[in-house]
Amino acid sequence: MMIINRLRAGIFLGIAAFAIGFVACSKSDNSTTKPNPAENGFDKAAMLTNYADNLIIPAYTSLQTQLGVLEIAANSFLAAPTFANKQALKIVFKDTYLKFEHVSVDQFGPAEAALFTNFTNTFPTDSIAIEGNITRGTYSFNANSAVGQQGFPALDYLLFSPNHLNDFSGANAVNRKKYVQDVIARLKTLTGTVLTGWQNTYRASFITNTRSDSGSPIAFLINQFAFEMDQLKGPRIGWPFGKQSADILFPNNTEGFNAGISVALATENLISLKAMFNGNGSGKGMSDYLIALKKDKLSSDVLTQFDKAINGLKAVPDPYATSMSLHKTEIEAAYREIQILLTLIKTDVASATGVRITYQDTDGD
Amino acid sequence: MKRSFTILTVLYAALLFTASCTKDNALVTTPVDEAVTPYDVPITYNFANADFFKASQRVKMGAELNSYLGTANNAVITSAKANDYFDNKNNLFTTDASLNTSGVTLAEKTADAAYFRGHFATQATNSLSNTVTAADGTAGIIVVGTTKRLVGPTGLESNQAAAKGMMGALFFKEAVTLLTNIPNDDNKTVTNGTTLAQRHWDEAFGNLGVPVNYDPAVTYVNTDPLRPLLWGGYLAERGKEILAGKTIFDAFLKGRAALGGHDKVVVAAQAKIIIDKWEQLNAAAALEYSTIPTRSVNVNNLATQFHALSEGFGFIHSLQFRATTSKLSAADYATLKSIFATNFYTLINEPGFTKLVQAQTILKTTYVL
Repeated sequence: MMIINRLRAGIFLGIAAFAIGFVACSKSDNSTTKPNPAENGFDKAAMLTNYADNLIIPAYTSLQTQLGVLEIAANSFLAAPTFANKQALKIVFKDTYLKFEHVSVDQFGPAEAALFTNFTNTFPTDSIAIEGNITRGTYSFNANSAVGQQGFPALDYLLFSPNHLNDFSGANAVNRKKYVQDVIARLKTLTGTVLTGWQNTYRASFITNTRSDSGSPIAFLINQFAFEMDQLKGPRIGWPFGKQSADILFPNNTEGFNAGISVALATENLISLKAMFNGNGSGKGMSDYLIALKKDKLSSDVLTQFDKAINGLKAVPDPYATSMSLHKTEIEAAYREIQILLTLIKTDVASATGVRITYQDTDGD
Repeated sequence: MKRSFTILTVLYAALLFTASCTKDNALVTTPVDEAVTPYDVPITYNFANADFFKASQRVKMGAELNSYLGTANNAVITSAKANDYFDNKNNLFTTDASLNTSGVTLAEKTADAAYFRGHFATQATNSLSNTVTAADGTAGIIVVGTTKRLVGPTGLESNQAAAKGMMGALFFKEAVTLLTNIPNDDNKTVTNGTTLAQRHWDEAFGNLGVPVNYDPAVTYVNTDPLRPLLWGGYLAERGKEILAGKTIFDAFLKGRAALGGHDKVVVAAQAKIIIDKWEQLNAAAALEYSTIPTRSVNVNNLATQFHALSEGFGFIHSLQFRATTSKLSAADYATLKSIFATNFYTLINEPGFTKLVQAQTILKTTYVL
């Protein structure tokens, strides 16, 4: 009896030992696919697929289509540069710029490689460099130093700044018209590059990498949510309103200043950001991931705060430059809500998802 | 008795089986004349008679020399004074006055001291231009927001080239050399409580620049006199994701304890862990500084871009002192070196950042970063 027991014990231990050896041999390289019990079965790959297929790629596709519409409208205006045609063009320009706000948050992967936001939306634009380019008739849009000479802000300046309508009939009209066309062509090329990048290779790596370390899609998304909020608090709304300059206003530095659509752009940006945060209400968004992480209250707090900030912005009429003197109270109120939302995302959401905010370099020396 | 024997046998079998599938230590043969004796691995580097005072002093000296070079932003500096810090002359050290009488110098352990004296001279020359705006071909300052950087004609901050370069040419080089030679060191003859191998191991540890009770989970404030310095600071600054702090510190503890137990195999394994991880940390820093200038948020922010490139320049110089067992080939190293030797104004204006992306790819691929 005792002997059998010993034998059994020996066999059992032998098996256990073998198992230990086996476990030790199989390297833990499957950590990316191993479900995290703290996530309660939440399907992160499905969330990322939703982001790629239902939000990001359609947003670039939509922007690309709309850029075609803009090109046609711009050519009509350039062929007959009248005030009426300019007003018609402004509507199309605004629609296109609004479409851009949907991809602004996607500055990673192919967009980051192409410096998409830099080349499409560096504002305020460098009007002196642009005028120099037009006069000379030679310029290169590819240099990284040329980001301020192209994109939507350049079009905003070229097409809608006061008194520039006449320039489309003056001595430099040919060069100026070509410059407008070149800026639009460049916008189309850049958008095409990023869209193709997503469709060809990036989508596959994006939806399969469910990690949260730096360089992972989830880290990119959280970082970009925070970054866009920083942009809203800074260059889009706060800085022109004097938030970094002791109340000295810089109305000309706003996004879409000449077309007078700054608040509309900021509002669209934030509405789009909310759609990104909640996965467009599909149940497969970052807000749902937070719930899976048992951060229900944070998830709903953020969504509520989105609405408060969006409503705050909606209370500020365009043009923003005028509101800066006529609607200070409303701007202050919206700014406060934006600040609260920024903190929630940059601190609480980042912490809950285990993502480090990396776009601000923390170099100590 | 019989039962416990069975269990032990089986566990031993398990160990053998486990060991048999890890490549590095395939067969453990312990010479009979140097039997392994039991030893405990402590959690702090408080080994009896451990002495790494000189290496620690050089770390402090290095930090203070860097501070002096950095003052060139706002003041004219001289290469004579920088050389005095380097050679420990004329009692310049103030954070710890005992450094002045320590008898140790940075120069005595630095590979190619002339290279660094050259950077001191350049930094001194650049400091004469610290009131003019820098441009391609002209030394001067670059101010973006509250950040101010003094750069040479190609955008290089010579103080960063010196500081980060010296992290390699002095501290990393020393650690690699000492640890590589440990197997040849006498670990039997005890003098003043330690063997030669233990003294060398301790000295290598001193070059890391961490306190004896280092804790990678702690965020050290820069007023803490015992805070990690130089490489010690980089364990956290660029080494978090590769767990450099824990890996290197733990290996120093385990290896030093194993020397006490004459466990050659464990000692060698820990030395390899330290050398490899330290080099990977160096590469991670170089990778980050190749990447920062290419980030969309930093485009045309010359202060940030040039500062990163200057640190990268130093860390690439530092990689020169990697162990002979390094995974980085001589050809790839030459490519990295030539990329960082390029005019920084050219590097940041290249469409698609071709050269910097090439550097990133080499570093990522070689070091699995």
